[in-house]
Amino acid sequence: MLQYVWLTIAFPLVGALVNGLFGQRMSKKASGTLGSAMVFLSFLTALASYFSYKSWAAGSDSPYFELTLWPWIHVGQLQIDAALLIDPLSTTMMLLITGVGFLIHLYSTGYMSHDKGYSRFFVYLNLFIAMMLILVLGNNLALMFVGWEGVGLCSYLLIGFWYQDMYNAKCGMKAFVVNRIGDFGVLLGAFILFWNFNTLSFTELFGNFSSVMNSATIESWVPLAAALLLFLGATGKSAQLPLHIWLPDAMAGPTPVSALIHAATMVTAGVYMVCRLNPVFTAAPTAGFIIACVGAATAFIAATIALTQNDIKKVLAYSTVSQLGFMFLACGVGAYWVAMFHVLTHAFFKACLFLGSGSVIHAMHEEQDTRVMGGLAKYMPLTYWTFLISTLAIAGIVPLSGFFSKDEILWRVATWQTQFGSAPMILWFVAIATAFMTAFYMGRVFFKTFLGKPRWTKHYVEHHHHPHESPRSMTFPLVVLATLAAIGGFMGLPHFTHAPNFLEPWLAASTGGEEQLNIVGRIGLEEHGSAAHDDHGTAAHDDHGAAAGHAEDAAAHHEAFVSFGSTETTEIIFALVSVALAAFALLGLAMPLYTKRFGATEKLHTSLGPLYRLSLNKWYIDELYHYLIVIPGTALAYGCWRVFDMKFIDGIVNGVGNVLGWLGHGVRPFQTGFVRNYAMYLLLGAVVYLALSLLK
Amino acid sequence: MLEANILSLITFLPVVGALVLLAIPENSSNQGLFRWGSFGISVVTFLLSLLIPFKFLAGEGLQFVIRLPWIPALHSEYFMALDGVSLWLVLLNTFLFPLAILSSIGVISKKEKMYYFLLLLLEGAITGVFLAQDLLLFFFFWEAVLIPMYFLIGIWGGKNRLYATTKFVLYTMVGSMLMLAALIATYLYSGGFSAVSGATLAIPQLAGLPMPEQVKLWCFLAFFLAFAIKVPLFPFHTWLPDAHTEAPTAGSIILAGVLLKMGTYGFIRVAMPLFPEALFHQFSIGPVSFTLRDLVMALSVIGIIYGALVAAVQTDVKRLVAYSSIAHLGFVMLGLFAMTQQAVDGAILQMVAHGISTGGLFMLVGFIYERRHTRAIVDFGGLAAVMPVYYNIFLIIMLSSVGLPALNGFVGEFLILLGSWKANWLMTVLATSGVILAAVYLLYMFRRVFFGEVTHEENKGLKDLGRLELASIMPLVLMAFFMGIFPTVFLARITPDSTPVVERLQELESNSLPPDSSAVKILPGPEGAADGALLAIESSGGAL
Repeated sequence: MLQYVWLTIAFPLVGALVNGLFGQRMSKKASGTLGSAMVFLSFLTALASYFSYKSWAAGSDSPYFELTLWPWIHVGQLQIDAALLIDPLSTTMMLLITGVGFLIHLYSTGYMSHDKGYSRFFVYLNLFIAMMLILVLGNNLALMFVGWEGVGLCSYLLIGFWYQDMYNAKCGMKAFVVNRIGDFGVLLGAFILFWNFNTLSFTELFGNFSSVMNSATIESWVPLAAALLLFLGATGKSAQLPLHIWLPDAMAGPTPVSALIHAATMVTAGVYMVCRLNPVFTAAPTAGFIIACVGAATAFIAATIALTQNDIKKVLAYSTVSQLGFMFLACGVGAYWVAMFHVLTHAFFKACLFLGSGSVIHAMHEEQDTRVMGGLAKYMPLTYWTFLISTLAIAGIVPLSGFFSKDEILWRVATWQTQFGSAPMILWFVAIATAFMTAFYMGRVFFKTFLGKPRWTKHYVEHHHHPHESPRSMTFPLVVLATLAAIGGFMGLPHFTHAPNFLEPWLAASTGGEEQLNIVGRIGLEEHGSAAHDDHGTAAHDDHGAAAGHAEDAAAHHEAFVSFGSTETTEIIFALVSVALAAFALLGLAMPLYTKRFGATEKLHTSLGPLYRLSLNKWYIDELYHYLIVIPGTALAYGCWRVFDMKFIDGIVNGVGNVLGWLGHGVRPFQTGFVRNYAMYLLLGAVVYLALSLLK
Repeated sequence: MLEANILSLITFLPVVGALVLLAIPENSSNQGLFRWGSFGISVVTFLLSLLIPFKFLAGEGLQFVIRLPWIPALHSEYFMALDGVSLWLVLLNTFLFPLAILSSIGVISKKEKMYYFLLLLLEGAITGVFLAQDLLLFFFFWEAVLIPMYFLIGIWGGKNRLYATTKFVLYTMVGSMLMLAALIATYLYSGGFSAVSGATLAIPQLAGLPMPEQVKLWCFLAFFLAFAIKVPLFPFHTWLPDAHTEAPTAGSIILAGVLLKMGTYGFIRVAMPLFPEALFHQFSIGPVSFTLRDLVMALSVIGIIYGALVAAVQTDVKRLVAYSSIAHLGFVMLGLFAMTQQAVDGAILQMVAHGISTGGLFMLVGFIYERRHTRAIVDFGGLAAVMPVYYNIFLIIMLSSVGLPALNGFVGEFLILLGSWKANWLMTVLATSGVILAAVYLLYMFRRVFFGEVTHEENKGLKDLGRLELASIMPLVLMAFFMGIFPTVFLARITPDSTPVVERLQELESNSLPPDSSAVKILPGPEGAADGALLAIESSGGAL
């Protein structure tokens, strides 16, 4: 069965093709059904692949099932195939993409039912699923890049889906261009990897990674530079500082797009890439440190912005940026499976939140401003309940999914073994502060939307009927996603529960087991160079043991915020602290402020003046880029064209032409056509020649 | 029989066809004959050329050889052959011409007979450039290309056509004159005019000709200027935007699609194999010392960024595409002079890919020009709603030009950049930024032309693409996908024949480096070596 895994990609591709060529002539129902059915088939194939992978892996030494489809780019030692890689990581992503993808397709059949571009929407959505699957299934960086750019294209097309409004088109273009800045990093990172490891294939890279690294032909900047350049790509795709600016604007697209592409799947591609290439990142501890810092800073800043936004989708967008920051924080501290855990739970609750907001927007006739909502719980109970569950999940209330994944990240940060002094402590405080803000702003948006007094009554009485619950095609996905958001955390229960953790051992095959310890050990060896030789003279013999020993050694040297062997009690206390903080932010602060005492918020805004404006204006980062990059760049471009091209180069070219022209004019009088003149020139010439030769 | 003469056939069939057309009197009843006759001739030529890749043997070097005496007094031969380097360029040419002709039908109304006559002449001449293996023959075809192009721009061009076409011809002629001088010098050194046997103008035999280093340098520089102007390499590019803007659509398609590649092809076929030593000639300005090759790479990178920047602020769609060509050809030049297998193969592939995508873009601009008689970006807006088919096709071709993976533009660009990294990482970093800029200028134009409300009343009733237009653009769209998904079809035939050039250059490169620096490059660093030794001693000690 595993040989047929390419069908997961083929189904949505066929869907896109058929809808693209004949969609205009098909009924809406046929278009939507075709689009959704193709993704459902893809999901079934993914499910079948999962089971057959499990039985295959049971009898195999390697966790990697490779499937080469056709040779793609072969030049010299560069051998890139169109090849797929099935392992726990890609299988997990495949299930997520097709599963959530199907639900969102289903939702879209309802949400987009009145839209003129109905079949075009499904073309793009199907194409997106196919590209996202290529991204996660590709067995080399180049093929991953195909998907990487492909999803970027779909994102561009879908953000600007309602292109008649130039604002949407601008947002789409912004997303594409900012992502291209990241792609620049991915390409360069790939070049470094290729010229040092002689391959772009993941399995070949992993196969000889530790041996090449240990053979000491690789200079120490190599993994660091590669990791940071690849991470630049991740900051683009996953909207991290300093390239996060496109994601909030991406909300210009239809809401199902926000849920699928800009929350659940595409934006986690950066996290996926870091996890996929985790040996490279693990080999560069400094890169890990930088990633953790960027992740934490992004999480924090995005959360501060989310506090004051009034557009329901903008709040969710900044929340996504913030949650992605958490995932990178986990990657940075080397907890790759935890990052993936958060990818999964986040996909459930954030997709549910976005679809819920879509349901609200639908009911409110395209209104997105939470200031004119309120009291909607009564009119749309299903949306209300599912939104509530997801809000609690993202806030980190036990035992919903967000609690488990976020708490695991916080715990991993606190117990991070690193050479960077007090980094774990600072990062943990930033993270817990962010978690606190998350609970607050999610509470804010929830209470403002669903509880309190309706603030839309007047408007509605004049124009419409009451807000209404959405059709079943839209509420069904909400219910499924809310269920997953509620129970999804049980995939990865924390150690102190002593319950079986399903996710960690399953993902360990892809995201690091003993193999990595070897590399980590080697890094330790380099840092404590001389000491290593004295202490462990047998290093050359017992590579493994020495490396492991060194990892311990290194650990002892570093002051961890919470030492690794600490008791379970500490872990439980940490968990309780975060739940208590979240509950307080939600019930103690947000609920009273945004259901009853709306006046108090106004006072808060004025008393916090500059801070409030900083948050409301998104830290003025867009403006900063505008003045630092866009304006000087445009001026430079004009200078090149108007001055250098038209004045300088063409000045020379036309100048040469003119000089030749003048010369021609200058000598023209001599050519009179009269023989007597020519005879005179001859005579003059002869005289001059004679004179010169005589004088000599 | 057919196979033995196929190269002559595909070169001269269009020329003979053109002459036959010339014999038919021009009146309105014969218009169809000129249009469809020339189209038919170019289609037959394409079908004939299509036989070549099927009969082509990868790695066998020059094939389908035709070698007859031409001007015995000058040892010049009618020597036609092709290998993996020229194969796809020849096919690109025969592929683009029928489409260019098809897109002209019904568009050109002035002096139709002359127009199609010149187009067919042009086709034959360009094919000849890519097939000639004799230097004089190469020069002959090279110059022959100029004449029909001069008239195509000068007669059927836009308002400013005379300035543009004169600039085009004069620029090119400057290069041609120097090329002719270098050609004569090379011939003399091979033994021409003296009784010494072995005098030749055959390009394969001239490679490795012993010549004083200084002469090789000057010869290279002469060829360099001729080719660099044709490419065009920054700063020899200012003829291109004018020529493109003024040229009729088919002229632009051919100009960007194949004519520019004569320059880059000239480098890999003539200048680099004949005078490779010149590339490593050291220059120094003050404390900075660099080789000629460094200089060319730097100019290529400047061209990539400069072309993209200037493209971003253009107000005329056609001029924008013209500047984008400068950037794209910068990639090709970078790849050729990076001299790694990946970069050179990427450059050759990119020549073909650029022909498809930029040829396509010019064709698409032509479609809209015929409807509105303007190319100014501000005159459009919101076209996506009015012309959905046009919009979708434009999108695909634009993305192929942006270099989106799975379309044709990506593979070449990726190979060039990957290969250049090894030669010069800093230049590669700068060149890779061109990938960002390409998205900026194309998407910015695309947004203003296709998105937003329809602001101009005239644009509301625009007709979507007709059948003839679809027939001329669709082959390009399909090729864009095919080249992106199955580039091995092309690469497998390019690589074996580019390898000898690359190897020769790499050999010279390693010789040209000062001895101590090459030692550092090959051996592991002194520290690493010491460590390795230490480990070896330790482990052997342990074993004892």
